[in-house]
Amino acid sequence: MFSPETKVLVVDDMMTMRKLVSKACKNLGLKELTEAADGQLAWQVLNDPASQIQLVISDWNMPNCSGLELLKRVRKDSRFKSLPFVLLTAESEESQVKEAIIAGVDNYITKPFTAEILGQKLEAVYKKRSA
Amino acid sequence: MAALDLRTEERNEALIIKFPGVVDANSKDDLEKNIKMWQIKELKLFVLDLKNTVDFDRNLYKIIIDFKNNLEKVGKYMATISVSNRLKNSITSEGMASAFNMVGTLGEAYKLAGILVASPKKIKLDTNFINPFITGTMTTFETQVGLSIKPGKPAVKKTGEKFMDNIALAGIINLTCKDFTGTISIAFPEKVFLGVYNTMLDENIEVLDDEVKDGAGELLNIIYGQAKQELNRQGYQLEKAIPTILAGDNIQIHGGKQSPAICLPFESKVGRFYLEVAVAL
Repeated sequence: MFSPETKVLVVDDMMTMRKLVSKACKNLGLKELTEAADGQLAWQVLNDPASQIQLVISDWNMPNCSGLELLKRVRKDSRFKSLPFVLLTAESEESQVKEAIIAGVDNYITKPFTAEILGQKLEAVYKKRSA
Repeated sequence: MAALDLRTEERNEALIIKFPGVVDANSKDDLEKNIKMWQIKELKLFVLDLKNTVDFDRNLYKIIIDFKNNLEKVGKYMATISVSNRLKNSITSEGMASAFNMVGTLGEAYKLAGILVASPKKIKLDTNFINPFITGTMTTFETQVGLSIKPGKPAVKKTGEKFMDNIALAGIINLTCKDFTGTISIAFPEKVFLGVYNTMLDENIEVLDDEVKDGAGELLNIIYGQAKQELNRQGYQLEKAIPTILAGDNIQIHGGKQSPAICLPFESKVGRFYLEVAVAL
């Protein structure tokens, strides 16, 4: 599992959801959390050398820059090609899941979720990235 | 190169691709990459929806021509719909009208590809339609809020009839699909929502400020996502939607001016709240 020192970027335009994800991350022992309210702001955080983000958990539907668009930007940039990236969304249609996989997402969480579900998904990402 | 914000939907053997407002030269790589992915899909028809597109770089037209030609080689079809007059003139002036295969509507595109679309699903406000909303609400509250809730007896609310008391906060989503329109709303008295919010986040908030209020919209968003999944499996084709928040004193939700609404009360240890589903029949 990701270590407690892992620097996590939580991206969602709804403050309530950012708080929920952060709360779930803290329950899993992840303490180094940064929040961004949309994909554009998240991109600025990623580009800040001081941030050293090691895991992104992002909502899909956001203004300015959606989670999918952020993922595509991240995967296009050689600096972040291997950055673990998890998408979180209320939609679970097959076409959307496929789109996310093709774009290079590491895992996909459908709301509603618990800290346990998030933990299972992150565990799978960690194992995949560690292999 | 910029990422192209495309929205895709698979429906009736077709892939409908909604393009953004501007498709410029920076989108070239992304467009080509997406086309490569689309070409391997086992679908018959590919529809480029340019309703929101005001600018499509003419240097990218060749990519579209190649896409159409590659599809035709394997017996598939491509069409473009909802093209603005300005863009249509630009495409036509470049001699690309047939390349883009511009048709009026999605129905015409289906016809072109010989795809028969099932007749519209008749909407009935019965248990098959309502139950996904009840289940979605219960799942959302159990899982996301950590609160057990119990559905009360649904009631039919006539237009203008007052049913809910002391509502201070409501989230509303417009239901849109090709067969009907309507709304789904979630409504809370102030104390009840604060109880829900504080349970969900382990906090002790006492005031409904703007950031707290958006929690109602988020809960409704999740409930709708759950219900939509089941209803689309039943054959409805509900689209994605963004909630609106209403806040004030003694709000009355007036769903569906022309139609009744089903009002679903839910009981919890923090009090009663309501879900309302209204459909224009």
